Amino acid sequence: MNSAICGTTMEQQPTSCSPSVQISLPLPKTAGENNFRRISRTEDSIPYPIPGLAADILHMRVKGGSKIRSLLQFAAARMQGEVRNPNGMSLRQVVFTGSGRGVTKTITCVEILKRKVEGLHQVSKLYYNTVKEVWKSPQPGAPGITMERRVPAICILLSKDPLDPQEPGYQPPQIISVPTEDAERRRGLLRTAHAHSSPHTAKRLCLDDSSACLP
Amino acid sequence: MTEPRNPSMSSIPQTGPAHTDSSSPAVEMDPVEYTLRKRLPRKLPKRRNDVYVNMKTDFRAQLARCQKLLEGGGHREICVHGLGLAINRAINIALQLQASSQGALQLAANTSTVELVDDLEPEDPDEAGEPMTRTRNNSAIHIKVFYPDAQ
Repeated sequence: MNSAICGTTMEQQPTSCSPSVQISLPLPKTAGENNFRRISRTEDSIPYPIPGLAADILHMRVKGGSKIRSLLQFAAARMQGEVRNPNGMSLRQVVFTGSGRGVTKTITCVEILKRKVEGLHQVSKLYYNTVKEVWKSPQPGAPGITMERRVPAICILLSKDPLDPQEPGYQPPQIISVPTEDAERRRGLLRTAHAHSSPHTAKRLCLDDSSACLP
Repeated sequence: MTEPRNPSMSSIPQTGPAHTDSSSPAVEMDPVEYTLRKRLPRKLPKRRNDVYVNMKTDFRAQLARCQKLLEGGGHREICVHGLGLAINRAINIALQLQASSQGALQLAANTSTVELVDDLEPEDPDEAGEPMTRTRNNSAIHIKVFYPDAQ
């Protein structure tokens, strides 16, 4: 039974359930109507994995269902100084965290924000987020199951102030230059005839990018 | 890999006056169906210690490959790359490597944006639709997994 629950709740990859456990059939097929129900899901509130952060820093928690637009509206307004802190200061740093399905979204948010607000230093950290789940048996009186899962998570600090370049996962601000404008221009629909030059630009972009992104 | 899409329904952005002059009247509302063909991501440099994670290969096989590089292959550091959905898997592989090394390995993650190109090909060649391309961005992660220098 335990392994069956593991199979359905695992994120396709071995997390806390031992990797040797064969992924069994999803619960609905094996148990029919007698599904276990998840009645609570709590995440460990672990401290930031990045050293030396202020306690009152803006923390964006990205979940699988969060909308990138709303996250960015909120964060960008504060980073661009349109909305001020209670003490009248414009924000210097922001932390994005996301786990499980939210990881990709977290990175996308950060990448877009870096393009919106120029000159941001970045530190990324990876860790496992421990999620505690309580599952209730459908039969009254039967004991429930408590399980802990560890889902991959990411924590990204963006800062207007310089950060320690020796810190693992540090990325300096990117100089935003012609290639992005070029990309803006080519976004949307282009006829292939008009886009004859694009393979060349793409190649050039590729070379530029790859040398920049490989640490 | 391919999925048909009606351009009038999908989220193709209006490209503004710059393109309307050269296109046939009312391309926006044209009911021609297109096939969306996603090109492969552009080729990236591949050293011996680069691992590009995908969602098709078995997770354990990819993890074993990384372990082999670090233990048998004699590499002091490897680079694990993941694009889009594979970001999660890349992170998972890196964390598993770190966990199985009892803390000997360190991770340094970098993020980036990768530009991808889609081709839009008209379903029916007799109709007025012309092949088009569209670019979009996707997020990527590059994780350096390394043994820190003993100091």
